[in-house]
Amino acid sequence: MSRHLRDEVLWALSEGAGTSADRAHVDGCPACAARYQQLARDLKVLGQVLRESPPRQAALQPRRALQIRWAPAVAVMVATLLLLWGQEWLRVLTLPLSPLEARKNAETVRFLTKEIPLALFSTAELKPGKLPAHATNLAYLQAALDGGWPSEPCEPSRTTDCEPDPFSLFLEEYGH
Amino acid sequence: MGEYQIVPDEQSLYKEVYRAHHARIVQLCRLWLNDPHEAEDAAQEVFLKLFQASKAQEASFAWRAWLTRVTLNTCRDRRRSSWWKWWREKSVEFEEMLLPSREPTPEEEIVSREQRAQIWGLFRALSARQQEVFALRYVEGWSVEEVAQMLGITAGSVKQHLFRAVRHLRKALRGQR
Repeated sequence: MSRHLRDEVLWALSEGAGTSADRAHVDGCPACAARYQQLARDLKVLGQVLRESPPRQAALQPRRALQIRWAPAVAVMVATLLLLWGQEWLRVLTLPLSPLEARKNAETVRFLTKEIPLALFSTAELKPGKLPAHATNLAYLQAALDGGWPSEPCEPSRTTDCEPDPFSLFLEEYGH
Repeated sequence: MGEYQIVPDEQSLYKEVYRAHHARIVQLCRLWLNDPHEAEDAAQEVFLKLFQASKAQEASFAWRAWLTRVTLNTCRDRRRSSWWKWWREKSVEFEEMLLPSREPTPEEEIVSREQRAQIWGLFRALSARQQEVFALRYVEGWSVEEVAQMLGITAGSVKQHLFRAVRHLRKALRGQR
């Protein structure tokens, strides 16, 4: 005798489906035959019970009803906890500072407003230098040519045949 | 004269179909809707549609299939539109007196009261589709092919939903055995 049939196969047989081999198995196997008969009885009972009026709702969904009764209670509890936490938070915020904390805060404020700007923007080490009082373009150009002014060599600008050289135009305009 | 005034022939057809199918339709609504009041309302809606349709159809029309399909759609619409009632529906505890039920037959007595409650509870826990296929197949007695046609799905899909529903519901019976 081969292995017993699965519930799905037995159910398919009850629906008039299934193979002839499966049906032959049920006919020859007392265990599967008993299961098949049990399935047929169960289906009959299920259909019969569901043709009747439903019993009381409370009996139908005991777990869900319990969940629903607990849900508002949990919601109220969470809301209360949030309210208490918010109150405590506000209380801590509005508490007067102890002298020690006040001194610490004052120290921090002084450090941030006095010492940091002094360290960052100190001008004590600066030596006043001589800046040209009236620096003209020509003075800058001369300084650059003498190498005394930081300057980078410039590549001659590339032009196409159609475009006139902007540098020569500049010389034409201002040099003469 | 009212809009729904009907001539004697139409009235007799309506009454005949109503008498033949009322209990069945109410039961289907109870199966597919959790709230018994809403089930009653849905059944009324179905019979209003029947009343309107009875003016256009003949007595030989396939009323059983038509009513089943209309009930299915009405319950679906109500389930969709009443999602917001979920909270109220789940917590409602209606009295047994609201549900007139006949005395159980000796055959029905075999299944204990607890088992019946458990079966209904497990049925309520099924998906809407599984509830539909199970009710149509094992409560109403339509064939798998007819159920597939009513629901607009394949026979294979019906079988799949059906087997899952059966497996789930049998737990209620196995628990007692």
